[in-house]
This record gives sequence, structure tokens and C-alpha cells, in this order.
Amino acid sequence: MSYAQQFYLSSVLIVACVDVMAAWGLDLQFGWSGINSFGYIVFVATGAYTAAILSLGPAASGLAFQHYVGGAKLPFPLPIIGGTVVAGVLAVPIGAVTLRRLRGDYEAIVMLILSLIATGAATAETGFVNGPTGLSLIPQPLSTSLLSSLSPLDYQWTYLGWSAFLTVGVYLLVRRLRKAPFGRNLLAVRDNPDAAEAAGRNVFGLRMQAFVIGAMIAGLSGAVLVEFVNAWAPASWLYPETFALLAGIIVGGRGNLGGVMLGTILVPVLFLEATRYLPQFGRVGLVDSLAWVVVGLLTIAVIWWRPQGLVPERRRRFRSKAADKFVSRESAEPLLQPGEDPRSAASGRRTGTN
Amino acid sequence: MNLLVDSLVFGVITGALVAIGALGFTLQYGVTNVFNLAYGAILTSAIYIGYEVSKLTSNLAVLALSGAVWGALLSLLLGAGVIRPFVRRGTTLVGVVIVTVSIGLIVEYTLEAIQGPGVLTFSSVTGSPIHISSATVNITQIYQVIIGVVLMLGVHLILMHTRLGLAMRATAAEPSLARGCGISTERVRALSWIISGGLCGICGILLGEQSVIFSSTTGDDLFILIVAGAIVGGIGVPLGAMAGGLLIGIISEGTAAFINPALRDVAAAVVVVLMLVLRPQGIFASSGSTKVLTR
Repeated sequence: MSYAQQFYLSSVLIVACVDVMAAWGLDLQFGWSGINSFGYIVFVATGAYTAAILSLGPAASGLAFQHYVGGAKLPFPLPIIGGTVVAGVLAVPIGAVTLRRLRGDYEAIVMLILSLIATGAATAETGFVNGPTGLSLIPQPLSTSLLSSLSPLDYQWTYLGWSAFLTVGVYLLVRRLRKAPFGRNLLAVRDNPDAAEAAGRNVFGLRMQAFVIGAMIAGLSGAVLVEFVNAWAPASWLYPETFALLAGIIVGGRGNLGGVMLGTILVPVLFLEATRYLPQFGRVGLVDSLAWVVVGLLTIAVIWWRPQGLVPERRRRFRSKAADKFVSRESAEPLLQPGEDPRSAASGRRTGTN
Repeated sequence: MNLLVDSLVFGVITGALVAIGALGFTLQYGVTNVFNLAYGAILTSAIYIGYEVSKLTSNLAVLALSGAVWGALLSLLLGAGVIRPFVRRGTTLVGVVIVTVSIGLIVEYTLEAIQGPGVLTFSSVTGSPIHISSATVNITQIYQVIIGVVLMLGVHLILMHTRLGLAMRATAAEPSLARGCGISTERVRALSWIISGGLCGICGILLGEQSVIFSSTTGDDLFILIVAGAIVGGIGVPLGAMAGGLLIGIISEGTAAFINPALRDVAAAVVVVLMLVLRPQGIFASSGSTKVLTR
């Protein structure tokens, strides 16, 4: 492989690691807990901004070319940890407002609007995170320490190793959570919140925990991304970015770790990232626009023909001979269809059925 | 003081625009119960249609009519062609919302693919400036307010004093009972998509006249204000949409004048979140008369 090809391949793989991590975090919220987290990208952005500010050094006043609040120059892993923690902390007030009582589609709208508010505010307040221009020249964490002698290409591969390491870590974490009682409780809360509540589960508390953990994973992915691309601006986290991850989850299979990974590699990585480097035809940006059109069509097609996704969620069932007599052993019920959102049924309303 | 008068005058002008959009949005949402996130994209597409038509004529009535026809067709296609099959299949509320987001992205990026990135300029008819106290407005803005009031009264009269309006209200309140009484709820829903799309198209044309330059995401900013107006007024209440739109217009123009012009849409978004969390039935709703928004 030529130098340029290697550079391209390693970049795409790093982005893939970041996106897969973020998608697992979103799946924890959207797929397992039924939280319609349409503003997920805000947590990615929070992690990215925090990590950037914590590695840029104290903010210069006066005529400096970028302005931001706070700032420190912390050694290597600390900015990433900071980004993870701050994203989790931000999830608490947002969750407290949205998770308690809103109906499913309203939860989605509020999250989406919060995402728009965040982008708008970050753009408007130039002193906070440098407004529309965003932050740039963010130091590369690994190159400043012991690895400063590496060539740029070797640095790419090293950073890929580091991102892959974190991705595996996130995988082990979410798999563990999934198998733990916590994961089973989340599924119960998602599928039938009223029954879960009747069985003594704290529905709000469980949803809140899932929301915070998902947000922390988002913050981690944002921090890893920003230390790779070295710049971050409001244009990096517009609301369609959440939708790109969401489309990946829906295509791959909501609630299935492997499926989510597959969908993420297909949609945000192959369709939206990798096409940026294809030979361009037509006018500038045409390929980009068409890629988004294809993603939209693909999402609609999957919800129509295969609402459970390419790799459906596997339902764990208790095997009891007594229960088998009464319960038919059919495959898992798809989440986007058929039937109705248990919560809409609980409120006595449904989409206009005919 | 001048700043206050200015922001009030422009608040009313923006409010009329928001109110037209909110009227269409609230009507369709009330009747079909589908939160249509593609509404902003339909609005944007109407600006592009207006742009093409404005090369032939600059008559505002013709422009508005073309926008209305386009919006109605696209909205009908979306509602009856795409959304209805999904709803009939039993796709969940959130599944349908995701479908509308997808459609919105498809429309916006198709526009971008056709026109290319960057902005286009809308040759608007401004005429001689008119002074209202300290504020200077143009004739299109006056028309905008008049069109807003006329449409609002028209929809209100249709809804309250015709058989179609009765059928719409019945379908919104209790679809199965309405069907039992012999109302063709399918036809009523299709009509609500058409009316909503028409209003959306007119709103898009007026937005194009207002904003002069536009791109494939111009409608999104107004869409936040429209959702805000519809939710503040209460979903499915046309007079509420007018009041809500007006309130949102004044709040956002006031924020732009007194705090920071860039926070114009953010203020409206904050209002939506507060409304949804504190009083989701809207400011005018009496108990039991509107949609159940909380679980």
C-alpha cells in the first residue's frame, strides 16, 4: 500500500472505532432503555470540547486567536477522562428534565431541540468555546509524551491501536452491563414500564443510570475523536450526526452489540465518512449530499422491511417447562413494529390506526 | 424605547410567519397524531419552488399560490404515500418520527444535490419603506401579517363551522368513534395533510421573501419557532397557534434586539422545552380537551 492509502485507511479505522463506541453508548440509551436520545451528539461534543480545553492549556486573554472558558494542560489520559466525566455530569440535568414524564415522541422532540439549543448557544457565545470557528490546534496527546519520535504514519497506527483498545474496553463494559441484572431491568423498563414499576423497579432511576452511562461513553468517543482530528467546531456536531448514528443502529439491529457495530460500519463510516474520500464527480459536495439521501432511504427501507435490523436483538428467555406450556417460543418482537409503544398504550393513545 | 417598539413590530411580523407555519403544523399533528419532522424540509423546498417561479413573475399572490400547491402535493405524498402505510403497519410513534426525520433529510439533501452548497438570493419585491413609529418595514411584511390573519380566520371558520371541520375535530379527538359515526377518517387525514402542506408552502414563500438569501437548511431555523408556536398554543388549537406564534415571534425578536441576535432561535427552543416540561397541554388548553402529551 502506498503511503497515502495507509494514511487514509488508518484514519477511517480510527473514525470507525470512535463511531462504534458512540453507537454502543447510544444503543444503551435508545436500544435497551427506550430513551429516544435524539440529542446524543451533544454528549459527544461535550466530551470533545472538555478534552480539547483540558489539553490546550490555560485560556489566554486579550488578543489570543481563540477564546474559551477555563483551560488546563493536563498530561495524556486525563483530558479524555475529563471529557467522559463532564459528559456524564451534563446528562444528569437533561435526564432529570426529559426522562420523567414525557411521552415517547415528545421525549425525542425535547432531546432534538436541546441539541439545537446547544449548537445555537455554542455558536452564539464566542467567549465560551470560541463560537462558530471552534477550537483548533488541539495538541495530540500521544505525540507530546514518549512517542514524540514517531513518524506521522506510525503515529496514526499507534493512535488506532489506542482507539481500538478503548473500543474493546467499551465493548466489554456494555456486554457486562447487558448480562448483569441491570441490563435485564433496562429491557423490562423498555418493554413494559408499568409492569416493571409494579415489580418494584425504579423506572426513572434505571433510565437515568442508562442515560448517564450512555452519555459518558459518548463523551469518551468525542474526546478520542478530538485528540485525533485536533479541531472541534459547532459544524462537527449538528443534529444530523445523531441521526447518522441512529440510522446505523436501526439498520444494524437495535439492542444487539454486533448488529450495532455492523450497522455503524455500514452507515456512518462507509456511507458518510469513507465516501468523502471517493473520487468526486459532479459539483463539490454532490457525493456528500447523495450519501445522506441514500442513508435516509436506507433507514426508511429497513424500518419497512426489517424493523428489527439486519442482526436482530437476541431475547434471553428463562427456560422453564411449566412456562413453556403457556408461552409460545416465538422470536423476539421487533421494537419498531408491530404493535405499539407500550408507553403510548399506557397513556391510552396510539397513532391513528386503521 | 425605540428598541422596544422595533422588537414589537418585528415580533408581530415574524409572529405572523411563525403563526402560519404553526397553524399547518398543529392542524396536521392534531388530526393525524404524527409529529412531522419533515415539515421544515417541505418549507425549504417551497422556497426553492418560489425561487424558480420568481424568475417568471414577481406577483406575491402567484408565488404564494405556487408554494401552496407544491407544499400540498408534497405533504399529501408524504402523509398518504409514506406515513400512512407505516402507521397501518403499526410502526411505533417513535418509528414514525424517525421516518419523518429521514424524509426531511432526503428532501434537504436532494435540494442541496440539485442546487449545490451555498446560498441563493431571492429577488423580493420590497417597494418603498413604510414607517411604523421608529420601525421601518416593507410592504411584503405588511402583506405577511394580513395573509397570516386571513389564513388563521379561514382555518378557524372551516374547523368550527363546516362539516369538514367537524369531521376533523372528531378524527382528532377519537378516531375509532369518528369512523363508527360514518366519517371517512382516511379522507379527513389526507385533507389535513393537504391543508397543512399548503400553509407550509405559503409560509415558505413568505420566508423566502423575508430572508432574501437561503440555502437547503433555511427552513430548519423557522421550524424550531413553528414547533415552539404550536406547542405554546396547544396542539390542535388553531387560535392557539396564532397566539403562540405571535408570542414566539415577539420573544425571539426581543431576544435578538436586547440580548444577542445569534440567540434568536435559542430563546424559542428554551420556551419549547419549558412548555413541554411544565405545561405540555399548551397555555390555552382546558383539561381533557387536548392531546395527552405525557405518559
